[in-house]
Amino acid sequence: MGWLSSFRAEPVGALEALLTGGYYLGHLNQVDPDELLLDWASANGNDFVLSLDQAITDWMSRRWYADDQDLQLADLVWHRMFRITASIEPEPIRSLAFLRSRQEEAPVRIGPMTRSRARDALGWYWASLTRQQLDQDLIPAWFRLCNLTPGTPAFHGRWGLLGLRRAPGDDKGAFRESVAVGLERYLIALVGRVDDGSLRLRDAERLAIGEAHAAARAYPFPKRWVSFWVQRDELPSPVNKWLRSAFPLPRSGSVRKVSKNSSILSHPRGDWTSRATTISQQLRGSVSDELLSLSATLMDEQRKYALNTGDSHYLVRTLCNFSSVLISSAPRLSLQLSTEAREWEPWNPYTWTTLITALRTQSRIEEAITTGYAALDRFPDDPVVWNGLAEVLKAAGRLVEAEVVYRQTAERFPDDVFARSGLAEVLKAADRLPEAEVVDRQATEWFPDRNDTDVEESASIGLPERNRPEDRIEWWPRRQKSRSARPTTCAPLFAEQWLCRVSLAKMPPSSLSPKRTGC
Amino acid sequence: MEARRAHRYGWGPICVVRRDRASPAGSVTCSAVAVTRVCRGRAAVHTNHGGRVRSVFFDNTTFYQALSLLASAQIIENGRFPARNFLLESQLPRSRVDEYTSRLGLPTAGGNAQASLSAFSGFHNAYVEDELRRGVRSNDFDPASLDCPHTFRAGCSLDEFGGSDEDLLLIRVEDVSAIARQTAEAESDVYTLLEDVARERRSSSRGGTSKQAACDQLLRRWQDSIDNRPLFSAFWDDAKSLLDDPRAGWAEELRDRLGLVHYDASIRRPGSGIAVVLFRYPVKLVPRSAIRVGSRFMVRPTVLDGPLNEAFFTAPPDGGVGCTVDLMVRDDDPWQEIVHPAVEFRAQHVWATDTIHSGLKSELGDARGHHCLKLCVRSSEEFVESCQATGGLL
Repeated sequence: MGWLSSFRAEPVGALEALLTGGYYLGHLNQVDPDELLLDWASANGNDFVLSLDQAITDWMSRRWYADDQDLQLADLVWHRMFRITASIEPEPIRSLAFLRSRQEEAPVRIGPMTRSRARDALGWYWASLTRQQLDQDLIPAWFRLCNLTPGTPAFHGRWGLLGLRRAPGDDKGAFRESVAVGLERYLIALVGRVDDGSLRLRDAERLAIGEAHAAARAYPFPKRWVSFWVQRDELPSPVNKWLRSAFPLPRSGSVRKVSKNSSILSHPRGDWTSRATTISQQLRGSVSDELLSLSATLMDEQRKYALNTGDSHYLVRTLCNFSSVLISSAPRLSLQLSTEAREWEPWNPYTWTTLITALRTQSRIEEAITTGYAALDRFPDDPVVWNGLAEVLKAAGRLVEAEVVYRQTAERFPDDVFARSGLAEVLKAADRLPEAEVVDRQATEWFPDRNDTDVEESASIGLPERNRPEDRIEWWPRRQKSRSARPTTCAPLFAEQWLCRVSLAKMPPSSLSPKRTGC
Repeated sequence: MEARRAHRYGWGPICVVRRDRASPAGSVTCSAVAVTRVCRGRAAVHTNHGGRVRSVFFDNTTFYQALSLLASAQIIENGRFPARNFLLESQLPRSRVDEYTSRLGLPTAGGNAQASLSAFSGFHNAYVEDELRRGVRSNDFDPASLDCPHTFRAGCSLDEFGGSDEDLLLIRVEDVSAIARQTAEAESDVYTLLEDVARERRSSSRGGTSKQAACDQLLRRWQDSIDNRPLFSAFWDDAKSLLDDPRAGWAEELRDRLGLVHYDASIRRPGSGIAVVLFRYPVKLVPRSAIRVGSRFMVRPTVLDGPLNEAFFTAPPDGGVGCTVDLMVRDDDPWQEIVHPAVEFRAQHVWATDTIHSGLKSELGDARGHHCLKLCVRSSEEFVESCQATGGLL
């Protein structure tokens, strides 16, 4: 076969030619190139797979941060690449390690490539990650998919369930309760999508029944399934109906028959909010070992609940709350908590602004700026993120950049008082007092009720309530003409380019959102 | 059944074309063949004279030149065949041709043939991905949708139907490993399930077993996640004697009959072979056409309905069906093929499973040459002229 010779001579070039469709395959033209590669891998043995693994890793390393000039073609090639890494045997260790290392960037880089269930680059990315799980680190990600957290396509629940199935465990193929919980969360999330009008009932039903049957086939223990379902809380009626199609449950009424007695923590405890509030108030006064122990106990309970159910809402609120409270008295712990919060909910800008603040307080300014630009990439429509970046730029003494960001924030979000107050502060810091006075006066005129103390406090700890995860859409509906995932280490360079553009060309606000060019 | 077949074929019973088996491929020219046929009940004698069917790509001079050069470039061997198919394509809606030829990167004549062929392949594959595979197989068929493949999209589709009895059955082969990979299931599990369901299906028409339910869900998950490319299908009637009581090896014979050269196990999966499943489904599963009220949307396959295919041979226009190239170079009637919009297969359509272990046993050039002769005796003299001009018989 000619392609195999080409591959031996120039692996990456041959791989790209094949997956872009630019290689004439003769009588095998009818076969999808990714299928063909998988066939060859199964037939040609380990040496070929090792070479292919290396070529794929090299190709992905080159292309991850590069511009996608032809978007349609790029989407197709990445989709095919991930289908290969998700299916090839034996596991392509290098490729999977590369993909795992890009987990944080993947939703932004790969997400927009998912066009439909049939062209699902991000889905196959997740499928690839399911294969290399040496620990439990990815379980929150699988539950996020099952929960259909904001920005998750309804058909990605299947990858969450696959991830839970392939996660390490000592059950040795026996019934796995976490998969059952994941399925329950997914079906409930589908009902939620139907209720909010974003998914047709019949589409939800298809997805739900399909996954219920897949789980039943993967764990063929009907009695165990039944005993699991009858112990659960009352489920929405469509879920009951869907479950009956896959499991031998009663034909009518609720599937729940006995009081809940699950072996795992699957419900939030009623006292969490009051305990968190009490601890938080006491921590503001002084930090003691006893208080830290109480907070650790609370977070452990919430962490366990989040691991069991994928519902990270309570844990993340507590983490962010304690991080903010401890920012002066225990900055290292504060940073640790905010880092964990962002890992749980990367789609939530609140976790990002909390982390930026913690980094800034720890004098890790460059990291804070880098994180700030990364947050801006993810949440260009969030004024808190813009203000948070400007604030940290100001703290770094990069006053010109801070001014630009504040001005853009004020233009993009004219109702945002923090941007104008922050701008006045920057101008004062730059000894441009007359200009600062003008801005300050405008701010007072436009926002007569503003309270400078509130403004400063909010800017330093991030804003909680309006950043609820359910208000967020991560990446899903957005597409840009050109895109690539800019490495976070390139943020300062990017900032310089951006600054030049702003000052020289005076571009309109819409064009100033980060343009993704290669570094 | 004969009446149905005649209606479906669009031509009547034919005489058998004989070719001297001893003569080397390419030594037979159309003018040397005495051809008699009965066309729609009327006898006709075709001789070779003058006129030629004009390719729909003729008006685009640079592309046409590129095709002509590729069609005759000995150095690319079988790579010439797709270009010949393009030259033979004489009936496609203008709008579709224009959309194809107005895409960026349309090949032009020049450079070496191998590079031109790669460029042609890249260009055509991009068209296939962009215009034939946008949607999802299980989505509702809507010819007005941008996700609808060009083949069936309003304003682009052929108005050329053979017509068919709704109870006639169609057949299609699918690759089991592709189903398994797409659903993240083990190939052996998928094969076993399909095999069991097929056995149940053949032994009894009753449905509703647990295996069939599981199979239904598996097929749903598969078809929910694959694209809506046009489906090439053949008729059960042609294959009935082979498939009514399928025995091991049926898949290889069917591959050869249908010209499915890509199921070449010796190159794709030597050793393990290629596991396949055969779906048998009624014409009434195919969506209805919006162009001809009442008809199912089944049309003659053209060069624009799939990737470049060396074993495809452009069928004469107006027949409503295409004909598959028999890789075993048999003299009997060619089997017919049509292309239709994506349909959703269910457990009740699973008919047989098998594994193809062998490679191709004959030269594709011979098979195409012989197939061309078969078509010529059933076609207009213009088509015969075109075949000669494009080297179809060589």
